[in-house]
Amino acid sequence: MLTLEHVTKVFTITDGSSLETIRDISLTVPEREFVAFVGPSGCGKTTLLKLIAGLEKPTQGRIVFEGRDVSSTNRERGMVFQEFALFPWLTVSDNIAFGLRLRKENNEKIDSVVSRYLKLTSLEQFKDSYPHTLSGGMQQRVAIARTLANKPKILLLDEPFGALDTQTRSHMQEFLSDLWEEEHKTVVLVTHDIGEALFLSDTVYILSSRPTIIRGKFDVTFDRPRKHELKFSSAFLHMKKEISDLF
Amino acid sequence: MSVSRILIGFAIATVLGVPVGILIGLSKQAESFIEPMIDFIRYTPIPAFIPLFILWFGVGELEKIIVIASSVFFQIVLMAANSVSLTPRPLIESALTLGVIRWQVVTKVIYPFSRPRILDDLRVSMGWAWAVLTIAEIVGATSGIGFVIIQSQRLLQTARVMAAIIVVGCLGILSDALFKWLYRTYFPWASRMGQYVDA
Repeated sequence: MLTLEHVTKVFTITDGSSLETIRDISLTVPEREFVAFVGPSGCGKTTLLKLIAGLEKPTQGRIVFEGRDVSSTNRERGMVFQEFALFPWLTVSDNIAFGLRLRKENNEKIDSVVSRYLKLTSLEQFKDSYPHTLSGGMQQRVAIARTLANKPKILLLDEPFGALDTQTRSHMQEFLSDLWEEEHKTVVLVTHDIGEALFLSDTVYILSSRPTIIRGKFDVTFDRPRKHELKFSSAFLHMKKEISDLF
Repeated sequence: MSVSRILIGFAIATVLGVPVGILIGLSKQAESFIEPMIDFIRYTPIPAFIPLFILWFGVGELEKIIVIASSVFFQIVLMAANSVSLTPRPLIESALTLGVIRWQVVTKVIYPFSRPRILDDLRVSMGWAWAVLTIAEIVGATSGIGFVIIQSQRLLQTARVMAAIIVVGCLGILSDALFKWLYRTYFPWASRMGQYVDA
């Protein structure tokens, strides 16, 4: 379980002035739940995720994960970035194996984990390719596989499909939805796409910008596994409208 | 003769310059502290030191090697520092959330990522090394290409001077080709690194 208690983040800019990015956010992410933060671009969504990952420290308040304060990065909290985050000198297989090699797992274990994720991401035929030869969608599948293969307890996704075209994006959402059915991990997704948030999550938080505060919270109860068609159902569209009115 | 001088001097500058450059590139504090000094030395013309080096170390091999190593060292340090600082943040941050801890960021991310750029820095520095060596050999030497040039000039053998210059040019092309071959062979993944530059 992940808890944020009155988290505030203020950045000091070089000219000495300060910028309040996040103001007094408190929330709880239960285990095995898929939670999305939706907000306009430029609001502190990414900062919020970096705070949870331990890449940034809150100015005030605390973040508690499984009973312990978050003070630095840890492989328990794996993060997937929008783009440019694969190791370009490693092949697809070696990227996926990165975390396991770091921990010096034995080769048999590494091979079995890597082949499992190559299969899940349908990237078997690209296992020996370097990232720059892959399309954007494939690269993000590798990035997600690399993080999941490392067995984090929570998966943090920062606009993972933000750099992709609409069609690929839609495919990737289905891929992630299917993957979630398979793995059932705790996920925190940050996106500006309301449809994406609704399609994937159990709970959607609406964030405002500068400073970021919680505008609203929605429980999403559509049946799982969810398929592409859901996006065109009236219940889905109705909810989407309700949320976009809050923006 | 000239080739072995270049290789030894360049090797010394590389072995010392690359690690120093990486360290400077890593730390903002180290950068603001060391960079002005290095900039100062870099802009002072090393050829101007040649007479001094001759007084200190004679006109033998040692002096030539010191001239090359000292002139290339500062170039390499600055270029390597810059190359290292271009490592994209998401790469470092991903590694951290995958379990990489502090100092490992250097060995697991920054160094492997920067290798092709550093090799390219070395390729550029090699051209500089050839220019400085030729000057050093013209000023005071008993062998080498620069020596051939100055000796031929004294004997009014223009053709020999031209030939020597062409030889330097050809050796330059050769070393450049060697660097490019190393780059392609060892860093096939870097052929389209352009996409990472903007990140």
